[in-house]
Amino acid sequence: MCHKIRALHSVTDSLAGGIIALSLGVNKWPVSKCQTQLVDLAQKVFETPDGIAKTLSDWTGGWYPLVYKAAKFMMNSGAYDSASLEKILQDAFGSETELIAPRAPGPKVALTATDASFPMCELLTTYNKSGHEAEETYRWFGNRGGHRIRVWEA
Amino acid sequence: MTGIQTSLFKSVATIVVAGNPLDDKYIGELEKPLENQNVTIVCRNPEDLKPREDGEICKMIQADHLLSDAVCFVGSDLSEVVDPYLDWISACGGDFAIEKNKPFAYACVTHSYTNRQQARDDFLYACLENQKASNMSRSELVDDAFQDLEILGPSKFCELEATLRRAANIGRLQREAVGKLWSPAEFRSIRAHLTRRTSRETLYPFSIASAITEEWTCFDGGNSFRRVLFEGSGLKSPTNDCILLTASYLSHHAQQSRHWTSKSDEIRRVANKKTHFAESHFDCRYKEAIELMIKSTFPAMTEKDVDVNVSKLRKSFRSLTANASADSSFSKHVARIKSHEISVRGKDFGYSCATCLVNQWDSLLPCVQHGMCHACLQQCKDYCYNTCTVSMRKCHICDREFHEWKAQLIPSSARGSILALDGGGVRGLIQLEILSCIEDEIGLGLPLMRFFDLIVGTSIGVSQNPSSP
Repeated sequence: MCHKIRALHSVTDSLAGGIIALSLGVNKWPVSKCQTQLVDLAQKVFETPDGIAKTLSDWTGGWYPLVYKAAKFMMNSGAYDSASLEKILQDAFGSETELIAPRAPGPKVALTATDASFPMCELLTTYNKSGHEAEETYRWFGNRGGHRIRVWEA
Repeated sequence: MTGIQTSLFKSVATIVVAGNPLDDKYIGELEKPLENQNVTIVCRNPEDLKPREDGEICKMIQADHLLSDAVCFVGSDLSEVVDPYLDWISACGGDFAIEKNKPFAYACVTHSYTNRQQARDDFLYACLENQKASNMSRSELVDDAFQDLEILGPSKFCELEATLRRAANIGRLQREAVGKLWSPAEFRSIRAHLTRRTSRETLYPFSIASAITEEWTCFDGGNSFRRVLFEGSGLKSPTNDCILLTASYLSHHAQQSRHWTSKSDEIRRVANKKTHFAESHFDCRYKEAIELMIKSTFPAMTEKDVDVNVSKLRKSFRSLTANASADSSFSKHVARIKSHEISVRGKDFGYSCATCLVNQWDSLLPCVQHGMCHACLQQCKDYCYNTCTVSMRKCHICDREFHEWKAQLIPSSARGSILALDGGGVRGLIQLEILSCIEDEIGLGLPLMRFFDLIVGTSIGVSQNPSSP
């Protein structure tokens, strides 16, 4: 399986807004549920160092975790295990639920994203944005080339 | 108090409320588009009429002037509406007023006049006395910008709405009698004038002006028409079904801007044996694009065959447009799609509204293949829960039935509430805590999301190339 989220390291910095937006707007979760789910996600994804890792870290003066993460980043294209995050997101949003789909009335959701292969900000939306004026600052990621984005991928 | 509503309309009335005879809530009620589809009412503030410091006149007011059937100046008494009336003339009179498209002016006041002619004379006299009309003659006061001026004195302001609608419909009928076929060049010039932004003025993207002056190929370059109606048949020329359906879609589009069509032209045609108004309309607005579309879809077709097909389409368009009224045209159009569904079933509508093929869809139907724009949903609804929530039980393209599918219609004048959520990993908990506090502060026990129209969040996004597996 090709992991959609390659640079998971940067997930820690930027993914939260997207997850919260989708939880509130698409899943229509109450704010309290979003809080518990986000804590749960963080605990599962960001593994805590075990005893051996702590000892190694002490011996190397704190360098071990950095070297370990760098090596993992090179091997997995990410500092953390993307498979576990994918699994959590699929459980939360459904593995097949598409971003653009018929939905009950509610707020629209838009997500800013980046594509490593394209030097421009991407915008993922739950609504049809094809008729809006094209902006030079971003491009809209619809069902491009027949590829339908799923909610968990966003 | 400044807002604008668009829908499929027959008449447009602009009102300018001087003084403070009405509260804002009542103005908001007047602007509601969904319950009153016959007349679109636009509310303007007297401040909008005054020239700006840089000498620019509000372009929105000029657009209102060109595209409204009636302009109503509302006040407690006639002296209150003198200033906005003169400001309007100075903004839109003279060269800017197109002879055959001047709106009718109405001064609506709470005071009821038994002798309206006398009230009109008094009003014009008060205008002449005003320094803003220093160089104007009595006839110029009316003729410069308007077809005519009438004083309306509803005994109660609760009758204002009915008065406005009546005024707009009368204005519409009277303007129909003089009629005018706008050319695409004229529309382009109006749009160019309106969209030339100044530093202080931002135009609404879906204003009345843009709805009325919209060119047919403005969205998607007509690709949706080609994709749905012409392509994929494997034939060397469009079938009769395709021709009729295309004519139906075009006539549906033509109904949206009343300036293009006029029933009275049929009367003139019979009398003068000149070209039918609808045919001129077709030539003016659609012919060139349709020719290009047919040529590019069927490259092997000879010029003569292209002309034959365009001529068939023109004839169908004429018969559909001549017999259509704004009330029944939509239902007839939907019935035609149903009766020719074999031609469109299974076709890729993309992001276009399946009913009009011009707008992009706003709500995707549960059949997932077809979506509808708000304007078409508004007319096609099976049930209306309230002014903004409608439901449909069936897709009229693929006939798939739904259970309790609802859509939210958002008036174009509604100001959106946007919730922006930043990234920050576990720091996202902080913004959730803030949202929780806001929810408690509101104290209505409703989910916070009920108060937002759009939620924007920072995501890592999809870094996979869509073409790869």
